[in-house]
Amino acid sequence: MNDKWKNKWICILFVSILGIGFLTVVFTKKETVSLSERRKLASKPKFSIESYLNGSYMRDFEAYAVDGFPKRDSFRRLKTFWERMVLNKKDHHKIYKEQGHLVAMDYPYQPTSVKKASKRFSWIIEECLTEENKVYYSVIPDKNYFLAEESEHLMYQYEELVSQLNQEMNHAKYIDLFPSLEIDDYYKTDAHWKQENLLDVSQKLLKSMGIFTTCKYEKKKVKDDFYGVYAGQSALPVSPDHIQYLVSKEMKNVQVYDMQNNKIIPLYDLRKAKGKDPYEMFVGGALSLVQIKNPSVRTQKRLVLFRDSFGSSIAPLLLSGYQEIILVDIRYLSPSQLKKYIDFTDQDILFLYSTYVLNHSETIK
Amino acid sequence: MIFSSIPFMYYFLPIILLVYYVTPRKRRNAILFISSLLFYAWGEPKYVLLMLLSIVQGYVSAQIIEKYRETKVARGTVFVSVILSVGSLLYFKYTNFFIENLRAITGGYVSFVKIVLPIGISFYTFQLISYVVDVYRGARAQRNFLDLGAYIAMFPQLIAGPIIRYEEIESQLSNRTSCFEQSANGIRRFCIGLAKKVLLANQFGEFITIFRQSSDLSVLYYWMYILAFSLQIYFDFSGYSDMAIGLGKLFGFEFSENFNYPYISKSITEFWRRWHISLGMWFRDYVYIPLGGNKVGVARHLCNIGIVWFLTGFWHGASWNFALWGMYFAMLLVIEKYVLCKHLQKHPIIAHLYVIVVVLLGFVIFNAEQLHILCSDFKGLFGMNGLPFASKEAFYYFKSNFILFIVGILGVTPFVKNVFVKARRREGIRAVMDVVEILLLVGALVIVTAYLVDGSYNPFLYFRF
Repeated sequence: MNDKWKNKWICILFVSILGIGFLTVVFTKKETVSLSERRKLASKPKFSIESYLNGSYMRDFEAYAVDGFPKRDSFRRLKTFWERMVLNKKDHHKIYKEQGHLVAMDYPYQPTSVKKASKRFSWIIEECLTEENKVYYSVIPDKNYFLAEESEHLMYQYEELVSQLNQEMNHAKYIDLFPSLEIDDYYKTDAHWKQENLLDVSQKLLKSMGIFTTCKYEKKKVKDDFYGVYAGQSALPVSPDHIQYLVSKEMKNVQVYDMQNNKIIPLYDLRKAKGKDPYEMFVGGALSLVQIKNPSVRTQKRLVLFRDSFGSSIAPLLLSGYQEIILVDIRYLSPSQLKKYIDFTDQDILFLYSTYVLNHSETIK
Repeated sequence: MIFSSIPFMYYFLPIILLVYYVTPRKRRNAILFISSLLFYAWGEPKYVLLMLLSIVQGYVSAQIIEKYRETKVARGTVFVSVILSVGSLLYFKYTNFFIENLRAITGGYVSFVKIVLPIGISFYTFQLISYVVDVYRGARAQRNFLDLGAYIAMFPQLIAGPIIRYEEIESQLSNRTSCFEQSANGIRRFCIGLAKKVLLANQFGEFITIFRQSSDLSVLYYWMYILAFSLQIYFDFSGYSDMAIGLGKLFGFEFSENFNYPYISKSITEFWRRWHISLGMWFRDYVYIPLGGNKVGVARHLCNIGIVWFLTGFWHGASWNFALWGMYFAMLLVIEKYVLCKHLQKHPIIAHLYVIVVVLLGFVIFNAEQLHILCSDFKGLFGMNGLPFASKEAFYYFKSNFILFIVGILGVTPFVKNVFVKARRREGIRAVMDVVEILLLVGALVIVTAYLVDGSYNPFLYFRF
């Protein structure tokens, strides 16, 4: 190839890429939702003199152009491939792959965030509860706890976090779940734990709260593939998970009431299992207040479970020991409102939170 | 709008290139001027009028200067024009800085003025001054307002340079041609600049953000930071210049080079001949030489150097660290001129190490907009604030970014270019290298697109100047 032809080829290819790029960005239909990133994509902004002069039109258009770029997911995967294979980067958007698991590298330890969370918990204990209430708290380690050291990624000392909570949660008893969990108890592509692996964890919680009961469960499987939140965020290549859930005879009589929207909902919502966030199938997903009544159980005991999303999947497994469980998510409901909705008399109280939420407690109200 | 963005690459550029090339040659400057106004209006809608007024001011001033050449009117006009240009720059860029210092000195309360710095004002104001002064010195004034507008507002170099002198471009404005060779060279430069910005500068920027948020600092981490910042600012700015030069070629213009591998210099004097060349030349021709340059006594010469480098530093931003950065280089240049120069020539390796160290330390000043940050950065670099030599986080990011740093360090030298040129000289390999070159350019464009689609908004560092 002589220089003349090489120059022609460079020009032709450049113009072609720009031209094809232009035609596709302008004329292809834009997606409105990214399933892999689990978010609404930016829509085309409406032009107005005001939005133009204050710069919001241009800002919104840039977001629209990036979000609506054709084959967005493929380009994101290409970028991750480049970072992994060429630059040998150890994480991608702070997510790494180890032993087939996608893991968020939650680092560093943020004591002020943990303090904020423990302060809110202590406020609830002091303002809403009496000495009659038995109060427990427990911490769910994230996947980084199990894999960071081996894979030489960054991790903080989880003992420090627990130790801080122990110091700041004076009126509650700590239930240590760390020894009961291992990496295979979590989905490979998601942050959450698998319900089907939580029988020993639920037993540990129940026993620690003074309840000795057993229950037989049948394992059921959601047919659809489950790509968890890390799969979309990192754009790393990974095979899908499958959600399984546990059912028992007693669960057939369970009534689940969504107190946020005033409606009855299923314990396991299989329609949500096919949605953009399949993990929401457990007890309605992200809701501020949910009441589960279990008429099959003989005990009169009731539990208020302060929880994050991990609590949704374990709550059904605690039903064998409680006549009623109220799930409270204080990321969506201010603790100052609790007394309006919950009668705490004689209730057991469990604060069950993942290390991630404790270390990023800005979402807690 | 920035070059390394989806709206520019896949909306603006294809349309402008198409419209430009289907337009008859006589009208192309008008297209360039209008598209430059649209480009500027996208990022700075309120200040398009300011730029237009500046261009009108320069146009009218030059006409008057030419008409009354060699008279007091011409002298008065150039004086007024320069005052208006500098005054506009001072008002928009430095007013709040002066107020802040006034408040600090007097302890009184003077309220800040609500001003947003117009993007690129430092660059187009300098071009305007160069035009008016060049006309005063004898160059022909541009009769066609659209041609002058196309020169001042030309979008490839409007917001971050290089600063194009009117003399350089005067003949190209009225008479330029395009060919495949020039266009291909332009595309090459544009793609290389894009890759420098997106694949290197932005990645070093991410590392610096992580460093600044870290609570696990160490001496090693500080040195990694300052190395990363030095590489980021080079790839960011030289990448932008490459893109500007490349786009210029696509529109038939030949802009002068702005960077020439500055990190391989063996003295600071040489460094400044290779770094932001157009700014150095501007200050030399429009400040240093009019002040008398080096053809004066030693004291006056030192004073001239001080003034030029104070202004050079201050041009970069309304903050004392930039002025200090300029004075730091003034001091080094004086020491080199009167003491070090001969020794440096005899020991090239030591000279090279010396340049790297002092430039890196200079960037500590450059990137520390507050005195306490400057102090803690210097202490951190030399382990004077009780930090350990290394930390867990420093090691992790060292390993995770190792290849990026290696690519960055190789990228600031002519190594890759030389290997490519040598390989192409071999007859057997030449054809392969040609195909590799094409694939690399296309690959760079695709990978950059992938980064832009995945990434967030990353403004160029030099936009704030």
